[in-house]
Order: sequence, then C-alpha cells, then structure tokens
Amino acid sequence: MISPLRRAAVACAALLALTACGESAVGSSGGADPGGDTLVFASIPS
Amino acid sequence: MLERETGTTIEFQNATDYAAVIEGMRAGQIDIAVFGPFSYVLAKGQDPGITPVAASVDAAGDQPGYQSYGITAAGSDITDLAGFAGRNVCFVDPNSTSGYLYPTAGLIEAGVDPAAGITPVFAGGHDASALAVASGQCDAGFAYDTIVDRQLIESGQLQPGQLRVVWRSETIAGSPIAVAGDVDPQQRQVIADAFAQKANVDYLTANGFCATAAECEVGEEGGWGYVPVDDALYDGVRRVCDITRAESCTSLG
Repeated sequence: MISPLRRAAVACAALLALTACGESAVGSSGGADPGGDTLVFASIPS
Repeated sequence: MLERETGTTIEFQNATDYAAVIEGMRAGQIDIAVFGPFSYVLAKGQDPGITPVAASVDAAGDQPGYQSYGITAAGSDITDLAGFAGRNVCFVDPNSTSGYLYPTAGLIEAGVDPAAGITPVFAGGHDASALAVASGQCDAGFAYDTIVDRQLIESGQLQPGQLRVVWRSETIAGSPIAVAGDVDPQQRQVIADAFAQKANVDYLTANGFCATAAECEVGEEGGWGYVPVDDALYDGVRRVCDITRAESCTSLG
C-alpha cells in the first residue's frame, strides 16, 4: 500500500505528535536504559 | 504523550534496517519499534518475546488492515481467480504485499501458477495496475481496496462501476508497533493502553499535543491513530509465506 521507505518517513513524521524524532543511529551511541528512565523507540528512516 | 503516560523519557532513534531493530531489541537497546507486517513476523520468529500492541488506522472505528482486490473490467467474462489462467494479469511490483504477495497466494490456492499459468505484468503502482485493467491493457489485475473503491474515482480517473471486483483477500494486517520482550509487563501494558486510547488525532488535538486535527497526522500517511492488535492478526502473513515462499518472508530489508 505504502512503500517501506515512504512508510518509515511518514512514521517518523507522525510520531512527532507522540514524542521527538532523534537522529542517532541504533547501536552507535546511547541506547536503552533497561528498567530505567528512558524508553527507546526505533523506526527505519527513509 | 507517551512520556507522560509512561513516566519516562522517550528517545526516538533511526535504525539502519529491520535486522538492526530486531538485534537492538534482543540486546536491550530498543524498547519499542515500528515494523512492517512481514518484518514483524520475522522478528517474532527470531525473538518470541516481541509483542505487537497497536497498528495504525485511517479513521476511528476502522480495522487495522486492508484488502487486496482481484479486478477485471466491468464487461469481462472473468468471474474469479481461476479465470485469470492464461490471461495478461497486472500486478504492482514483486515486493508489494497487496499488489503481489497476497494475490499470488490467492492464485496458487485457485490452482493458477502465478508465473507460468498467466502472463504477469508489473505495472509499477496500484493506480497503474487498476487503470491498466480498466483500459484493457491487462485482462485482470490486482490493487489494494481503497484505490479501487475510492481514490481513482475521486480523482476522476475511473468511473464508478468501471472495474469489477472478483476476489477479495483476507485482511492484510497493518504495520505494528511492537514492544521488546524485556520491557516490564506493566510498562508494556501502559504503552499498549497509551496507543490504543490516546495515540489518535482526536485525543492529541483535544489535549493540546497537536494544534489542529488537520496538522495532526498519526501513524501512516493520512492516518487517524492506533488501535490494539495481537499476534494472531499476523497469521495471514504467515500463511501467505507458507504458500508463496516469497523472499519477503525470509529476508529483512
């Protein structure tokens, strides 16, 4: 229905209403704080 | 909204591909992720702890999914998928869920070889597939439901009744939001409830998260918001994979 790349772009934009879109790549820095104060929400960018 | 509901900071991260998302979930680096239907099934197979909690819908009350249609021109003598045998059949592209994978499963179930039993034509888009059928370039074809029922008619490219729907797929599950297996079950429920009850245009606008409903796009393009889903909704994807053995069922992109 919607291409994966288009869907990812839309997902990031749409999620702005829920939280903020960051730019860091998974695994490069940061990451989740298991059981702590941060939840990491991942999507595939276009 | 999610931060308020969960009492945590939400950090949004871009992953390079679904394989990285799955590995991140298994490694405790990712707590929540957006998957496609096929990548979710692959993820669940690799990490049974991953749990789908919600999928986006276009309007309040909608079901979290859509259908593929098998279509012919209104005057065609084709009345079902078996009648596609030996004909020029328009698909969307080989990676399209509703424009190829579900249709090929339907053809196989109808006794039609989707490669040798027809002449496949890849139109490149759902609109192109439907319009090629309407114009007679293809004897039959496939496209997703909304483009046949509404979009091409509203755009003036098709007249009502110009196409006939001779097959409807089972519901094709929408792209799920899934929670990692190591997230506390109580927190997982909070996340699920937040998506089900508050991640929608109505709530986000009424509570000041969006300035106006028109500016408030939630989920997929033009979406209204999210509704609950469970793993069983994706059994249709698993069945299509069993039938077609498609690359999408074994390879993460």
